[in-house]
Formats: sequence, C-alpha cells, structure tokens
Amino acid sequence: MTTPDGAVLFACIGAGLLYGLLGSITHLRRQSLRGDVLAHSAWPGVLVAFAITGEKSPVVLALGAFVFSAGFGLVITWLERLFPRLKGDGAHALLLSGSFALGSVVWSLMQRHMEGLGQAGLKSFLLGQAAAVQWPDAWTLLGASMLAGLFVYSFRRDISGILFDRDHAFLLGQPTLAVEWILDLFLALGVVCGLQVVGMVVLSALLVALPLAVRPHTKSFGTFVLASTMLGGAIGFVTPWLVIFLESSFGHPGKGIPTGPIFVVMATLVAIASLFGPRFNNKSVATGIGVRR
Amino acid sequence: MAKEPLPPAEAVVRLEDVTVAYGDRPALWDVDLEIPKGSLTAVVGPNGAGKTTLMKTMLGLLKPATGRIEILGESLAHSKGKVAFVPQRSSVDWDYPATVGDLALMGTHGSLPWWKPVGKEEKRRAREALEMVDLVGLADRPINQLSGGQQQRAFLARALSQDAPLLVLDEPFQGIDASTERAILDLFRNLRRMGRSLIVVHHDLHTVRDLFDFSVLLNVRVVAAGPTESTLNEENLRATYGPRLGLDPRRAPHGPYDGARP
Repeated sequence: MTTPDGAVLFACIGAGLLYGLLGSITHLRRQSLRGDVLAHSAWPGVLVAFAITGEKSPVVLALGAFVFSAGFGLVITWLERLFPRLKGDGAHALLLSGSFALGSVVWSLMQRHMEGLGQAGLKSFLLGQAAAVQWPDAWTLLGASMLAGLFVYSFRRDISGILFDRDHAFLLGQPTLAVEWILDLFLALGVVCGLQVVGMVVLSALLVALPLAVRPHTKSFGTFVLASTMLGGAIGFVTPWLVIFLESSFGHPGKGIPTGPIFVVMATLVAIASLFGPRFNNKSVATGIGVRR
Repeated sequence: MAKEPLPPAEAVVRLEDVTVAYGDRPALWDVDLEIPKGSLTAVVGPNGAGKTTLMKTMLGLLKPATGRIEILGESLAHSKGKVAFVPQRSSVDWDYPATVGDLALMGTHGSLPWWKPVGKEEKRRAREALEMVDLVGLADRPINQLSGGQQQRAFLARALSQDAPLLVLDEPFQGIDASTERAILDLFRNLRRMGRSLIVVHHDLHTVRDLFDFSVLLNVRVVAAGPTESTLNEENLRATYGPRLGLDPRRAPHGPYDGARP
C-alpha cells in the first residue's frame, strides 16, 4: 500500500484541528449555521474576485472570499440586532440560501461572458481538491489552527463565561464585545484558509459534525473544545489513508475518490455512533473543588 | 408616591428620573429610587410591571432613555465586578458543557487576569460558595443533569463566589420546590447578617412581609418604596396590582393587569 502525500496528510490534519476547534465554539454559540453561511457566501466572493481581476492567484481569491464571508457575517449580526425575532436560525437560513443562489447567478453570468472558465478550477471551491494540495496549504491550515487554539486557550475563562451567560460576563468586567468580534474573525479567516483545499460543502459539514460527536462525552468547556479539536485531527489523519485504501480497492485508474467527502462521511459516522454509543463523561474530576481534603 | 423617610444609611442603588422604553412603549417611567445599604429588598409588581427591566437597567445591561444611576455610590462604569447578578434561570442554556464546580468558579473569573491560572484562592472561594448552597457533593456533576432547584443553587454559588457587596436576583424562586425556597431564604438572611445587600424580584407577598425589610412596589412607575412594614399595605398593593386584588393580597401575586412582556 502506498502512503499518502505528505502535504495532503498534513492539510487534512490541519483542517480537522481547525474546524474541530472553530466548530466547538460555534456549537456553543448556537451558531452552527453561521459557519455554513460564511462558507457559502465565500463562493460568490471567489467568483467575483476572479471576474474582477481575471486572476486565479490564491491570494486574490482568498481575499474575495474573506470580504464576502466577513460581510455576510456582519449582515447576520446586524439583522439579528435589528430584528430580535430573527435570532437563532432565521437570519442564517435566509442568508445561507441567498448567498449560494447569488453564487450560482454570478457563476452562470460568468460562463456566458468569460472564456475558459471551466478550466479555471473554481469548482474546487465547492468540494475541495485534495489532489492539488501543496505544502503551503498544509502550513496555512496548521498555522491557523495553532493561532486559533492559542487564542481560545489564553482566554478560555472569558470565552466560556461569555458563551454561557453574556450578561453575567459583562457585569464581571469580561471583554464581551472584543471576544465575540475576535471569534467571528477567526471563523471567517478559518473558512477562507480551508476553502480551496477542503471546499465549502465539506467545511461547513465538519464545523457541525465534530463538536456534535464529542458533546455527549464531555462535561466541561475545556474538555469539550479539546476533544472536538483532537477528533478533527484524528479523522484528518485517518482520511488520506482510507482514501488510498478505497482507491486501491474500488477506484478506476484516473478517477480518484475525493478526499473531502470521505472526511465528512467519516466525521458524520463518528457523530452518529457517538450519539447512540455509551457515554464517557462521569469519571474525570474537572475542578477538584468537590474533592475532600 | 408614598415614600417613607429612609433610615440614615447610605444608598446601595440610587436611580434618578430613569425612564426606559421598548420602541414607543415605556417599560419604566420616571423612576426615582434609593435602596439602603445592607437591606434585603424585594421588588414586587404584576407581570409586565418592568421588574426585570428595572434590574437590567440598574446594572447597566439596558440603557435608559433618560436618568442617572449610581451603584454603591459610583457610576455604572465603575461598578464592574462589584455586583453579583443572578438572572432568571431560563435565561441561559443549561446544556452548556460545565460542571457545578465550573459554574462556582465563574464568579471568581472577574478578578483573575487572563494569563493567570485558577489558583488556590479561587478554588477556596468556589468551594465556600458551594458549601453555602449545599452543593459540594455535586461539584463534578454536569449542569445539564441538575434539577431545577439544584440549578438555582448552582447559579447562586456563582454569584456568591464573586464576593460582591451587592447581589441582585431576578425571580430566584421560579419553578423550585418549597424546601429549596426555604433554604435559599435562610441563605439570604445569613448574607444580610454578613453585611451584604440583596435586591430580589419576588412574587410571594407572604414571604416578603416575613423576611424582606425593604420593599419596592413597581408598576412601570414606582408606586411605593420603603420599609416593608409601612409600604406593603392594602392601599399600595391595590395601586400596584389594580382594584380587583382580593382582600388577601397574599393569594394574588399576579394582578389583573396583564401587560405583555417585551
């Protein structure tokens, strides 16, 4: 059996770590759909960036994706503030379908007016293109997960207090607005980092599935976030091997099995299995406060 | 407004001309209020009277349209960490991954800079808070496995570990059984004896009479505020709850006025 390409392997691990971490935070904010919206709105962003510049350089496309993602994120926040009844999934669902439809409209317009669009490889933003992953992609994902992890670890008390009870955290003097802004920023950046490699469909599925898989087995903020992150990394490690195994068993020459969807199928299976499986959360001592001394 | 002369104590909360509106509907109208330091104060009034709005406004969680607010003799900007707030139990998601011990520790986080780990002092405060609400044995239990009364006590522990001179509680007795209510009322009495001030939104006029030494009757305006004995009379209750309140006001905590909540 051949071994997976190093860049692919590490990109998958990085993506797993990053989206496990970001997913656990959006899960606690009850914003699982937010990742979906940000990912879907990156699609028209990529297309518009390409249409304007005619360039396919990753930096230009990522910039377009980021501007649209962050912009749609701000629109959600703004809509929720203006119409409190939309809170929760209303604003998200609206923009989710809206942004994807916008992408499709732009796509068909571009097909009519631009030559050679099919070769531009923009479709890889939907399902990713693991086969074309380079080392810089892997470093970007690993670096982003380190950075986000460092922030969440440093401000773990502020973050967990704010996500549990914003009013209380505010009265304690915790920096509610700043933390929420930075978490939003990390989500938008995280989406952009993985867009071309992982694809937006895969990415939003990971954001939802990984935290869901570990939630029944964890009882503290720290263990929950860590478990979701680690599970993502572990599935990211296994996925490329599985892809190679599947390709050698069932694949046809020249028609590879896509990595991204396998990643998501794995994460989903683990999530479902863990919902039905036994619980492991009643043994660890979280704080040591209740221990008699 | 029937206002008794205040005892010669400092005010723990002072509101002047405070008006709060949701859209064009006033939730609080021209509220002047002084709550004496060291008192156990009940805020009573019918549904939609603005009790929660009053709490949130005096804490700075809602911005009043007009008026001035002072807490512990200082402006709101300087009161961070000095007030422990226990919101309505239903205002948070109890499926959040945290243990009872985590919740008790949260109260200590305001005084801890981000680079410092939780130390012995914080754990001691959290443990003492859990002892006061009799939850030490459940410190490692996830909060989604608690009964309603245990949730309320865990919430209280979070406020107690904060060591704040003023505690503000919004309907702490909603949906809990009589024995837990008694335990919490005992705790309130002890806290008052320790010199803390407490402001509690409360429905049961019977226990208000027995236990609370200061009362605020609210129905968008402050109908009356003062020592409970002289304030909680039939005339004031009628003015607060409306004319259909029966002869025994204890039996009718919710008046006929049924304003919708914002």
